[in-house]
Amino acid sequence: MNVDEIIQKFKEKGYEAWVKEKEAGVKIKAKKVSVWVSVDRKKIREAIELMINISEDFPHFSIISASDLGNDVELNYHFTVDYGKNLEEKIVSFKVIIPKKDLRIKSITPLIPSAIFSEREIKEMMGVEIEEIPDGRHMFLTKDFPDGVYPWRRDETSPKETNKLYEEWR
Amino acid sequence: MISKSFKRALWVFHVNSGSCNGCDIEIIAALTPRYDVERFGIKLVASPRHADVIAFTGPVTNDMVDKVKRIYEQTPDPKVILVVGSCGISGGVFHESYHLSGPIEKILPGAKCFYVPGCPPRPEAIIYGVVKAWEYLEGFE
Amino acid sequence: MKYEVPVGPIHPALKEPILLRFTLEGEKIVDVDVVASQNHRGVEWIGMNRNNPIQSIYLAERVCGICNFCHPSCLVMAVEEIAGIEVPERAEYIRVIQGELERIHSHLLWAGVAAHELGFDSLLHYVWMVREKVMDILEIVNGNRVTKSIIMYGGVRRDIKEEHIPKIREMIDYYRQGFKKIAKLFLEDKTIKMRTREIGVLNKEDAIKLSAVGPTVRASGVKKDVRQDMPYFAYPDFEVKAITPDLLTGETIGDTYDRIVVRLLEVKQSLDIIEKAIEEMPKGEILSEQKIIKILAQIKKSEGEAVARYEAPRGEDIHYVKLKSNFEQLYSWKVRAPTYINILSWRPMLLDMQIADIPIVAASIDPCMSCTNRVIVVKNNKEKILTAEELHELSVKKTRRMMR
Repeated sequence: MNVDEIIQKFKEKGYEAWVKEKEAGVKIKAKKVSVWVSVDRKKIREAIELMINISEDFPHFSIISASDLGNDVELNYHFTVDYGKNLEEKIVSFKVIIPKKDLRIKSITPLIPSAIFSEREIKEMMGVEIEEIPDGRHMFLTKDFPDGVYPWRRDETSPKETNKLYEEWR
Repeated sequence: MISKSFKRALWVFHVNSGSCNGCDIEIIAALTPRYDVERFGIKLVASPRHADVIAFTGPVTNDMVDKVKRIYEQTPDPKVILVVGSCGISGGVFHESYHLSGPIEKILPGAKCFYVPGCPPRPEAIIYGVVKAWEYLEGFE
Repeated sequence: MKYEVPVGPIHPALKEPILLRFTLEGEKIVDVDVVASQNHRGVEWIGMNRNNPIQSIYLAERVCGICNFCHPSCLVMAVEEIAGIEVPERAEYIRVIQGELERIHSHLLWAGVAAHELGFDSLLHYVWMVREKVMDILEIVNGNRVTKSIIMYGGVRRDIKEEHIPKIREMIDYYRQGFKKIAKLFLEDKTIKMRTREIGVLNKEDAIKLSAVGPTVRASGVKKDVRQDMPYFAYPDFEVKAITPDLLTGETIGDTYDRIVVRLLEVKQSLDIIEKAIEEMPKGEILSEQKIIKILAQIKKSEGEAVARYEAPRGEDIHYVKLKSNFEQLYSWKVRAPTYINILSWRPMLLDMQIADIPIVAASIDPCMSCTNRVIVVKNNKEKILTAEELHELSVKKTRRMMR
């Protein structure tokens, strides 16, 4: 399936989609293709189901990344499709913007079982409430890390107690 | 060149308190036939109760503080700490982070430490540090 | 009865502190759980709040000391895409050579560790002695054995000079001659076959569903390799193909033995790539912008986001970077090392296995974590703590029993 067909199928269902390409290689050139799809947070499961249906093999899940945009939080779900065939792999990323006043999104683990670690990490690092998550414990932070402190945020909830060495040595 | 004769063999217990593994593989490389530290009688042991020297690597993360203290208490005297790598000395590249509890000397005050700086230090530097610790222990007795 | 069993009883220092919980019924494992907070140092937070982008290269290198070229490469690729920095041709070839040298050193390190897990300590010492040749080449070319920071935005920092090339060719010949011996020691030994054949099987559907990467998934028959599917640097010239175990043994089962086969064949593939790269490397500059202040100024003006992927020795490494103009640090940075997605495949691999098989199966995905920590085994609700060394003893005893 080539890139234009993927973009077409997403646009048919009403999602906004665009492509970014980068060239690599010295004598023989190859392109790195990234498809970005903008999704509303209530429709994230449907968008992923659409991607599972249109790709031949089960898509490969990479990671969920997050940014703090001031009043909103932006989540990107990164997948790849068409692996295993020479030079045909494409990155498909779903961009979801969630307002900070109502930080909730549904879990995608019923469709993609390997997303569990990533969702636990987003929950503890960004403070997003993931509904229906099967296992909500801390992933990387210790159990007694203070509540309400989210390391990836850039507002008042970012960690203030950092291990400053040089102050004591003066 | 080690020209003295040591009265006994030195047993080292290794603890990784959250390091990147760079120092750890250089410690293991010191045991392989190229550097071959075992011919001096230095060997890695499985339990802190048999050890003379504890080798720490890594900046101490929040989770490993209790384990570091417990291992230090379990080791019988006379003992010496060998801090391998810059992480244990000052935090290294990770120096101000929300998940670290400070360098080794903040957690174990009053312990006799030998520092081997480097990121990671070469196997020869680690062997030199162990020999210095050894000389101290022999003089101690 | 709850048993606490530590995983990573490898020679201490070869695994990161990680806690695994197993549930046992009788002698067989029924459930696996992972707790991994001991090694979290806050690398992404430091990169987003305290470091300028060039300091983040040195920080990204120390995410893992064994595969220390893959993480800075990914970061540099992502920032170069956003800021539009060009890379000269010779630098792309040098980056390929450095990546393949790192792959050889990492796979040989793993081979020694796997031998130690099975109880063959002399094989550990032999393989690590053989590995010193590639460490010598790394030192001659880069100046340091581990953590060399050779990559920079816009190229590489050091060149591979004329006088280094005969030494690299000597290393390639040495490894080609020694390859047959190592392959015979690992793949034709009866005891190693008995300990690894049909142990820790990951079948193809599970591997695809759980998004496994690297040699773990290639040993189960899925041809996933970033160098083949989405190549970067100068890899399109080399036409790399993913290696699956049926190239050597004729069949694909997906067990621990197959993972050993895939890694040894990849060492051979890396030697071929390095040889071709040395012959075809064009002449020219190695860094497109020499002054660091200009690089930092250019990055500070750029805005955008990018995703970069790289094939590390353990699998696919992916970084996401977002830059904002007039903001000196990286605005958002996400690092995902390959092991964190391979851990999920421990579950189907370890079901119905015995406790003595835990060390070799856990080591077979090549976890880039030093486990000097414990693993909890939950067995019918009673607790008992075994140490890592006791688990290692069980594994070695099983080997000795099989050798009789």
